[in-house]
Amino acid sequence: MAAAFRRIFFAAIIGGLVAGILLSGIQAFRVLPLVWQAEKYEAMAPSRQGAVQSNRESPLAAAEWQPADGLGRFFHTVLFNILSGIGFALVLAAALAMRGNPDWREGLLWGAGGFVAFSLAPALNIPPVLPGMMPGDVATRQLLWAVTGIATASGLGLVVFFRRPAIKGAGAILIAAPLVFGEALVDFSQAGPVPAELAASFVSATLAASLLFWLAMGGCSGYVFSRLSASHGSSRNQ
Amino acid sequence: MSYRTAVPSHVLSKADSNVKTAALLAIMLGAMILFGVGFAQPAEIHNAAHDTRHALNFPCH
Repeated sequence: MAAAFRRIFFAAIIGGLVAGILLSGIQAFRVLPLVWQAEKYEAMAPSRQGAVQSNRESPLAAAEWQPADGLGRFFHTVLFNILSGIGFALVLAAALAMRGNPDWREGLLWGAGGFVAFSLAPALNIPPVLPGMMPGDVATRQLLWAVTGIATASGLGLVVFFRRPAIKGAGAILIAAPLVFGEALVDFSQAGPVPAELAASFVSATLAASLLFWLAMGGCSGYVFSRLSASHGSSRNQ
Repeated sequence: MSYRTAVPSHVLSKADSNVKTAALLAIMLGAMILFGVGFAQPAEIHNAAHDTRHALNFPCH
């Protein structure tokens, strides 16, 4: 068990590290400038009745610790990108381990599946939002995000790995259900101060960055996993 | 839904119980890390992870 866990863990660390660093590089040029620009609009807008301001600007959170703007803030973003990569890669590498002896190509496919389940499908329910945009209660959206991701991942598994049409159909329903019922839970009726052009650029930039993040994670995890399996050989099942 | 019900037996045929246990542990560890990065609400964690949450489409605030 320990050897199997070490292989999963090591593949996830490398895959998550590479994906998180790549993501940070893409974000530095195409994503984070949009976040910072949106915060200027958010700060200029008058505080709205009942609206929860971004923690970075609200008097409540201003009293709390936050990273200093500039390099300090970017350092934390890189750190949390890498942690996100390792978190997702642990799940992905666990799936790879269950498949026996995957290579980087199979890892790439699992990465594409991860993108569909945990980036694309949640984004269809909860469009990526910039600071200043208020699509309703955060706890509801967090629950919807998790339900959509897990249902889509499970549904993809049923469609891809089962032969019986009835089970494939159940998988398709699992994928579709959160997308049919989720939209009603997100409320965009209250217009925020952020220009639509900025928000539209942010959606395409985050989805493109997420796709590369998942492909890099899957490919690297699969590669490391196959190398470790090859070098351990007969000790694979210990 | 756990992986035990999501993955059919012919997929698992190659994986012995050691691998399954290791995979389950890895999934639980990954989920805990993702909860901290993407969902935990204490202000310090929120502020440090703020840009990552927006950029990876975790609901932030």
